[in-house]
Amino acid sequence: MSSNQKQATLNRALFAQRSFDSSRITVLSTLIHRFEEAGDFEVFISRTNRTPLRLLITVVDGDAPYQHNLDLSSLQNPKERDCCRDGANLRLHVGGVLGFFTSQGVSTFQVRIVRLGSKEKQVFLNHAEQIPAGDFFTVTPLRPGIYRVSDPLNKAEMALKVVMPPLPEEGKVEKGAKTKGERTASTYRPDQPVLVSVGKKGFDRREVSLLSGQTLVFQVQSAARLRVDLEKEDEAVTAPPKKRPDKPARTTKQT
Amino acid sequence: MADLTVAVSESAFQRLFVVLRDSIRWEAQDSTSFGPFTAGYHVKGHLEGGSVDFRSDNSVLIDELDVRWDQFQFTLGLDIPEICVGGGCINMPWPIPDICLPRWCVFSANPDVSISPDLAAFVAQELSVAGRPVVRYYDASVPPPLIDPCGLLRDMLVNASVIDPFPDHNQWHIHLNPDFIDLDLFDFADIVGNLIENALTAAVTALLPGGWVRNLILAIIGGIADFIRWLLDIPDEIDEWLSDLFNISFGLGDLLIQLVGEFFGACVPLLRVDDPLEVLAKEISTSVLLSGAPVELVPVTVPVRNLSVRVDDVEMVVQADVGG
Repeated sequence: MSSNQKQATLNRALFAQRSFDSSRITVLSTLIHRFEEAGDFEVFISRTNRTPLRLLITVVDGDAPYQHNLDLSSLQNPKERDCCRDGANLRLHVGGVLGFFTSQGVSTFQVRIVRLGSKEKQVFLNHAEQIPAGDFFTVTPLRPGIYRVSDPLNKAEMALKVVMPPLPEEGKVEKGAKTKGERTASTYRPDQPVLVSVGKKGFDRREVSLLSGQTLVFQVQSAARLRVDLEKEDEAVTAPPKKRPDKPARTTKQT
Repeated sequence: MADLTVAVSESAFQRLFVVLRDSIRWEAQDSTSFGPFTAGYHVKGHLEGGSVDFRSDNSVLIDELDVRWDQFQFTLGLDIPEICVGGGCINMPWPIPDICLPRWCVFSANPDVSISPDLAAFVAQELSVAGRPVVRYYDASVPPPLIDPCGLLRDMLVNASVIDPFPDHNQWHIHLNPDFIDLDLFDFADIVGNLIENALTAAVTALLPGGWVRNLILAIIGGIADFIRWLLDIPDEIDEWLSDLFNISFGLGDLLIQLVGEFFGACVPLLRVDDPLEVLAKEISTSVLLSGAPVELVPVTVPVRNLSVRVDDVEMVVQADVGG
């Protein structure tokens, strides 16, 4: 018996992230800016110790997508990035959103959006200072434990509890329990985000519980600066398991 | 009435058959991609055992030939899909569009896992051949075909001194033309399924880091065993899936049947009769001339015509007319 495998690098930055700050975009956090008016916009993306990257966004009230998500870690490399090839402007529908995230690495990014065409440069977003009302900030904490969520601008605080999803029971599935190509129903799905709004009255709830790998979305209703810090790590915190049915004893094959 | 009659007993035929049987060896390899995984094999094998039975309906049954696998290497490669966190969409009230969130993936590239167990010890099959003797005429003046499916096999047997090369004169060839070849389907025991499952599980486990990160990945993929079954599209037992793979997808049994069929039916004759047949060999004789001087006597050959063969439940009988 022999086995071999192609080594794939573990995205270690994901598992080292213990805090999030809306003034810096890191792995597992996303800044989402909503463009409410048509026009041409300049987006400056600055990365630690690097020359800022400039992108042009055209927001139109016509045929254009309502959302783009930009992976900032690949934007520096024109071959890798999935937008803005050949110098073409990024087009967005009025009311659409532009998401900024970084898929890997430990770099932090800052985004500044200004409007073109007016005499004075009109800064629409400088998230190093604050996130304007109407925008969104998301975090996807992986480390289980208790986090403190705070917003000094709105003087708000909230507790975030991150628990491990239920571990699957190892072993064979029940014979005939699933048809070809289907996953078992109890498989954990991390793609179910939870929405929390933050405004002048603070967060709309006092505590949120997430499964590790699930995303918490902050809908900013009044300019905010959000921080999410791991206060108490607790790897033992696990959601109650979803038990699979016991496997029946095998029967002899009929020929 | 035929001029020439030769009878071959069942036991003599058995000895003849054993020589040919032992010369049958094969090696084959193939691989196929099934999307998220690739499967392949590299096999080598030969035949053992087998009993010859002459039957009264002019046929020969070679029963219970054991297919022995010297190597039965099975390669299974998994292309593990993305394992990611985050993602999903949130439904927002008008006029805000629904917002879809990015995902973060655990590995920078999709890892591959591959295992290559040798299952030779776990595969046992039997083959039976029933056929009728047929006579074919080998005309040495006809050039061999450009693409000769038997050429390679014959050359190999000649080089191994199993058979004589085809001569530069004509011959009558007696082949066993298979009516049917029955090969057991590949049937892998539970132990093989467990072996493969354990090897795959170990290979996938080796990819995962430890601690809570491992637990998180296990929760996302739903457990390694289920994950592997999902990747391989296995609804049931791995051993059954493996049998289907070899019997249907690879058709390795068909390959073997074709090989044995061509070997006996077209490539290697069981018996050969020279035409013309030498009845007196070339000789240097000193008793022809009174002086006692040596004289070369040319060989005496007779043409063989209308060669036929039949089998009853006792013997194989070859008959022919001799002379023009």
